[in-house]
Amino acid sequence: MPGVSRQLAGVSVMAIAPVANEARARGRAGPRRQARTQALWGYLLIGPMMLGFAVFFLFALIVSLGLSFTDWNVLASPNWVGLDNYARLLSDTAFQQALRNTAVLSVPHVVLRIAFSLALAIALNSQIRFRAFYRTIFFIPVLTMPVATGTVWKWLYDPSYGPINYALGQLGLPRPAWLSNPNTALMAVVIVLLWSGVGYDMIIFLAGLQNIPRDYYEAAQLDGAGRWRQFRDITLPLLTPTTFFLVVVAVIHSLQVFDLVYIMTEVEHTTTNQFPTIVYYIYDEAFRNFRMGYATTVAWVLLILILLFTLLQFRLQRRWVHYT
Amino acid sequence: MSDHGRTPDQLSRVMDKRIDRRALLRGGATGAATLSAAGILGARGAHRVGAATAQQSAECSGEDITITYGFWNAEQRPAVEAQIEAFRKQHPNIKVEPQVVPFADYFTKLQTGIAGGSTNDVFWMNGPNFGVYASQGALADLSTITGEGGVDPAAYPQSLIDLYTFEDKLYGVPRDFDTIGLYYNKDLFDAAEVEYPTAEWTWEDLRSAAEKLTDTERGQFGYGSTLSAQQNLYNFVYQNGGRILNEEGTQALLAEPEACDAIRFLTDLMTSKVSPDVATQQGNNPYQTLFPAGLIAMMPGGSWHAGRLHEANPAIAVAPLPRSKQQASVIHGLANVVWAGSPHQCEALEFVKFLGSQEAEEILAETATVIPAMNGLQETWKAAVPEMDLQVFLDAVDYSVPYPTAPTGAEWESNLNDVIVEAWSGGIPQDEVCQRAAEAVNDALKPQ
Amino acid sequence: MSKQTPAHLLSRIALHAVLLTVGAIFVLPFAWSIGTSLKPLRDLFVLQPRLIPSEPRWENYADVLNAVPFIQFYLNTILVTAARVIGQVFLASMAAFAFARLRFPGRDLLFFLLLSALMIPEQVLIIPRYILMRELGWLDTYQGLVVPLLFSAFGTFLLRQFFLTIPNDFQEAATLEGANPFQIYWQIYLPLARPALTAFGFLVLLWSWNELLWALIVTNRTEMQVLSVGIALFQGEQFTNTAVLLAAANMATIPILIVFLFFQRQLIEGISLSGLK
Repeated sequence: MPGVSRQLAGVSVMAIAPVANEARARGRAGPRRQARTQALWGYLLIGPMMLGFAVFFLFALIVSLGLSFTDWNVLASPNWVGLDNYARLLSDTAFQQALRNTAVLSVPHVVLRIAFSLALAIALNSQIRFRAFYRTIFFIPVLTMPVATGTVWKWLYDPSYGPINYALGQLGLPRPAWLSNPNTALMAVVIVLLWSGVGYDMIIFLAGLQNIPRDYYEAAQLDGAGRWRQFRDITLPLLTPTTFFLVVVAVIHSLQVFDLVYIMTEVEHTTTNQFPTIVYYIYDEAFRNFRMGYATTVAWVLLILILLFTLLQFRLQRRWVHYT
Repeated sequence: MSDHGRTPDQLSRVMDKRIDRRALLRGGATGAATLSAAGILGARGAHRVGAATAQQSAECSGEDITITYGFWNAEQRPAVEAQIEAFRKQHPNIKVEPQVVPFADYFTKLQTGIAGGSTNDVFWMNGPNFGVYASQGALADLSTITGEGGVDPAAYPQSLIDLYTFEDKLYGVPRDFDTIGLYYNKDLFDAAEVEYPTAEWTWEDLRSAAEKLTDTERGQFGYGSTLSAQQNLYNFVYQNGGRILNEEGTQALLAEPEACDAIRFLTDLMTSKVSPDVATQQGNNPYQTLFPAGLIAMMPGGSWHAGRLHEANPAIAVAPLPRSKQQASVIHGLANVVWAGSPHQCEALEFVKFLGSQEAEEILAETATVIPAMNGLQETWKAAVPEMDLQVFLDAVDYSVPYPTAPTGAEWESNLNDVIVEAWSGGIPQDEVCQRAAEAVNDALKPQ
Repeated sequence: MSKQTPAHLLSRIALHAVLLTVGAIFVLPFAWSIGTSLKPLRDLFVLQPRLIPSEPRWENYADVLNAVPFIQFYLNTILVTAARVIGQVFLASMAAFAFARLRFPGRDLLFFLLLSALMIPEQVLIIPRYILMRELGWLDTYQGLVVPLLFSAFGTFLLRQFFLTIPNDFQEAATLEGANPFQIYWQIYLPLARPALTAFGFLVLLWSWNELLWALIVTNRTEMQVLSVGIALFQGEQFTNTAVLLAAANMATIPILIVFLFFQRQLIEGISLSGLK
């Protein structure tokens, strides 16, 4: 699309005119020196972020690595236990169960979340009536306090008297014991995650859609491309950076599900381990069962797993993500 | 580093307790060095342990000092503030700052504070958590403020003192308590022409009444067998002469015949469907819905439910729990404890001494919101709901058994709960339940 | 531009039907939380709770104000949130620009290292951070609430992805003209990325408004506490009055909802004005 880039170039020259004049006065540098200055600027611009990251995150991360080789129970001083915690992890069935639960939860969560939020964003990016109203409605769950979310959904899922099962009963469908049956508990948690997360992703998709130059569509229309082809050839490819971001974040988000399970599965302060996710398990081990040393081990193994997975995603993105 | 007059002898005793031989052999020093290098837990680790307070507690410095008092029930704030004000009159130089933390995060924050070397000087403690905090040296020994002119253990129910005693030392001064009774709905009993429960009821009376009161068509259950073991299972074990854990809290006694019969009795009630099933209870807190709505005829429950149950349904009354070999009720209560690492030990102990005085407990009694722990101050609480026979809960003190607690924390309870949930859903054959329960609990109790 | 053919009309109606149905599901829990917040205690003790209270009890809201210093919590939350939004947007956008558009050795490795911040549960990091706060003397201070949470790997990642979609021509042209990278970031990329910055800023606002764990750990004194902690206080140990709890949650949420209602055009639609039309 030559017309487009010409126009873009025009815009850019206008936008940078004052900057350029100022800079020109200072003369130009050779290519190698230029590369060195650019690198310098790079470090300078990421400097504040990386400094804060080192102080407030990396420090804690390294301490937790150290703790993963101890039997620390939080209250007394830790003892060095070498690789005991890591050895224990290999035969810990509760850990494996938590890992499996988390994986099983992640797949439908990520796929449905992206699909729903993209569909909503596209519908609400068109010239449809009342779209401000709809956008607000779909965003309401994102605004809801987690406490309220947990309380409300616990009531909705009530197996005997909740509205969901009431509706299912009216339709002659089976009425599952949502939160106490491990299979349905999974689905129940995914539904709540979707409910509270789709609006969030929708906003980001909307921002991504707004970023796609209209000219592309106009040019495509002139070429006689239909709506579907416009969607496939322009919208989808140009949204891939946004989609990639949302996929990575949704994966990480589902691996970190915690509060929700905590709120929804507790009864009268008696806890059950029926549906632990991995972070739930880490929290339990660290703070309820007084095994902080072991909990940090689990956390580190989790970190490495997610890191590998994210690396894989970054590798794969080259095949499907289009950057300009 | 502040060590508050701790003698070398005391310190070494403390160290003995901390580092076991295995760790020393395996180079515990290396581990500790790594952590100190990272700036964590090194020096600070030592000063919060041990309870070396004997020397300095007699005389506080008299300087102006502020201590903090952590608790988790926002509704108790007026009572707490009134107590602080009364204390301030006696000790004008000690300022106490109340700090309320939401219950759900209270212990997470407390652990973080203790590990980080900065937490409340005085704070609330409960039974399930007491064992681990006391055994790990996080709490100060209160022996210097007990006895003559101080806290008098004889002024409290013995079972509460037992609850907060670890290795023959008292670490907590009881604040309030609760016991368990059998709540019942008079209307449902009248309609089914069943006699109200009495103090003489046996398990058999309970079972046959529960069967008569169950009306599947109406969705009505005879007995609400709650998953909360404190209000249900534990009581039955004690009534049958059994025990949950051994004296030290290191082994489960659930497979013993006395305890096992209790587990089976309740599992029977559950599988014969005279009680709402586990799934229903998980979705729907029976104390707030099924019971006050008149769909459960009887339900064991803690004294704390009384006021709200009465408000929700005036037909609800209360009787003592049924008996088997004996009468028994679990007693539990909160205690005020002192952080062993507090830089203001003396002032903190002074405040806890005050909280254990007649004057402080009377302030609590006036609010009529909880049962004060001190003997003889329960009348105002009882009078708050005159329509119910709340004396039941006070009589229960005489046959009460302290809430079971282990020095490893409350993990054993969630393990037990998992087995019970599975058994009550019919997932475990009757003859395996007790063994499985004992194994699950022992799993959590064994030293890691 | 769009033609009003019958088929077109029909598809529009179908779309509205779907949106309304899905919308109803989205709104129901919120409506329930409003309805319940006005219920008297006895309405909470019924088996099949109704959306509408038997008789609205507005005192639930007054109870919240009487029980905790809600206004103080508001002020603290607003202050802390404003600082976090400004700080996060600035720091993340600057780093994101460098990661997206500048070449320097170790760039990808550093970016990946930063991303690892998203991957470890904060539960195991709390204690070391708490010790750091104590050493810095930042417990019970605004800087303790704000500074450790200013460095957003999430935001850096989000904005990097957006910067990558901005055509390279801008940067090339500006570089040819001799502008330095900070000038390119400040004068070209920031204005062009306004949609993404606004979206990110709003997400930070929401997250910060609800953030509980760190606020709870790092503050003790009532004067320093924020809304999320204040709300959690209404969850009791033995009994929670759901009506009062939800009243507190609604009081915290509704101002944000109003902000969103008023500014959603600017937030989503107005965004495109500065975009690349």
